Amino acid sequence: MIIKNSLSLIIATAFSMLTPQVFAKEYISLYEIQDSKQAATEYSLDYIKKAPEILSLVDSSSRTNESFSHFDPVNVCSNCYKTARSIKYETCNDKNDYLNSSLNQLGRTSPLLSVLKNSTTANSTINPECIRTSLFSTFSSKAKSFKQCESQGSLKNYRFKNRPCINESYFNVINNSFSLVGQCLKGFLSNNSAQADQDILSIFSLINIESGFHLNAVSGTGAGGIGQFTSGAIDDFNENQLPNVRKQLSESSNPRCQQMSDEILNGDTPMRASSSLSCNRVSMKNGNPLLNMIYTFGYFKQTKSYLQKGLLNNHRYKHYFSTLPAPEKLKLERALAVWAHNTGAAGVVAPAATLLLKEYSDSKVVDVDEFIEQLAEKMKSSPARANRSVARRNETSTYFLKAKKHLQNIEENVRGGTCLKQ
Amino acid sequence: MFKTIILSLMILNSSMSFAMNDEVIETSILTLNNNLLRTNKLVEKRTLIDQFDSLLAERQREIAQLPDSAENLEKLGSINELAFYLDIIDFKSIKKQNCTKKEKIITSQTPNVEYENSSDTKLPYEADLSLSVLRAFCSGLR
Repeated sequence: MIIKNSLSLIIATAFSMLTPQVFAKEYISLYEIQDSKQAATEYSLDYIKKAPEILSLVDSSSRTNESFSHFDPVNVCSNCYKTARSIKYETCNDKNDYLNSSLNQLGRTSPLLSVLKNSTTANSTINPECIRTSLFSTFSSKAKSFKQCESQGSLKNYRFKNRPCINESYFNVINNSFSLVGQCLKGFLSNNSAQADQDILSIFSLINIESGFHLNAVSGTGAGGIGQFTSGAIDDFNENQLPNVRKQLSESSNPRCQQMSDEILNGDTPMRASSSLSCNRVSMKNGNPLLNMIYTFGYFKQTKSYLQKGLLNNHRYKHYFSTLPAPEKLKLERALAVWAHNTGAAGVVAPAATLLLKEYSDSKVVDVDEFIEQLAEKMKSSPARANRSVARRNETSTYFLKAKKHLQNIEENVRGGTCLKQ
Repeated sequence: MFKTIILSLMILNSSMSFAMNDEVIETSILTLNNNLLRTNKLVEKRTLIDQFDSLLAERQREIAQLPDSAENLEKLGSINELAFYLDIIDFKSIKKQNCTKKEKIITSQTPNVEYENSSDTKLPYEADLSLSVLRAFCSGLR
């Protein structure tokens, strides 16, 4: 069996390498990769990952492991951003059009999402071109990191599918949803408009790396939807932030915000924590992407409060940050909040405390970027308990810097050099 | 009396594995929990928590000064993590009415992964330990 599988692997590799021009055409045209060797390599990697022989060698729980199927924008495709910008929409095919029927039925299932599907957005904090680039560049079209699930069931009962077709309807729903949630929850994030904009940019970078703004992204470990939520985070939001978010939306002078509260946040727990009901993290019938975006915004704020209590404003550690100017403190808080979405708040605070107690002792943090780099090292060498496996050490220690790099790549290819709408 | 014994056994059971490898802290937590169970007065319970907090901070500093062995770093990280969970509980704001809500803050700090079998998703040991302190604190509150 092993010999047979190894031979198949060799044959698959040789086959794909011998005919780069033909099989890498999609990559060349999609990404305008100048170097056909690079395109061939990318194609080969994708081909190998999808080969049945390879899949059978890897056990089912890790087959769809994020590191296995997640397109790494930093290392694999440096030209993707520029080219993704020039592609408006995809032509759908039978492998990626599976969300179209749900999109077409939005008029019946969700009046608000139906409006967003058919409208153009005026007041968005984030440049739509950045969202489009995220949709195209975070996952390749062949990445099997998505599921179609419109029932009340569990995501684990559904097979992984290709990236959904990025047509005009899909893009409008995603872009306009993020814009609406940003408008409605800006004041919830901060009373200061400029700071709230920076928070929204941080949330953009978080969603960018988590799901590439695809509403049905699902990780190999079961995290679901736009914000890649797991049971604990959903529970945390439902208990601690849902009432506050509802209040913010229902008291808004914008009728769309009130409609969002009534239509999307209905019931005691609009998004259920139980993994047996995890379809509700991705299903459009449950109000996604709006629902998952609202949870992402709310959870970002909740995480910031944990970081303040546990680290930045904590009696044990706050003196280390006392000489940082206010904008730098806020920059650090946002960076740690993005990071904690992956690591858990304890996953940031425990190694950060070790870093402060061991490396700073009598000195203070004066350079936020330097502190972040040092923290990345500490996450590898002194992680929190839940992040001690080799895979988690690698993932947590590189998460924020990858998110930052991915955002930087997008911004370098957008007019104005920033995703904050000018 | 009987109820107190049963409750303390339940609380101690959740922390029996002593995975922190620091006898000072683990012994102190047992003592803290016992003392919390012995009083129903909010003021006294808060005082006990403050005393433990000072001990925790002192132990953090002691271990931070030890050489950088894998064991010492793990011990320090574990104490840091325990301190975090205790800090986000915010004992000063606990009343009888919000004990359940406070428990939820800790029980929702599960690892950021979802498993095929939901019983595999366990709370980290330090979170479990902090939960035992919270339950001892809330026990008997009027």
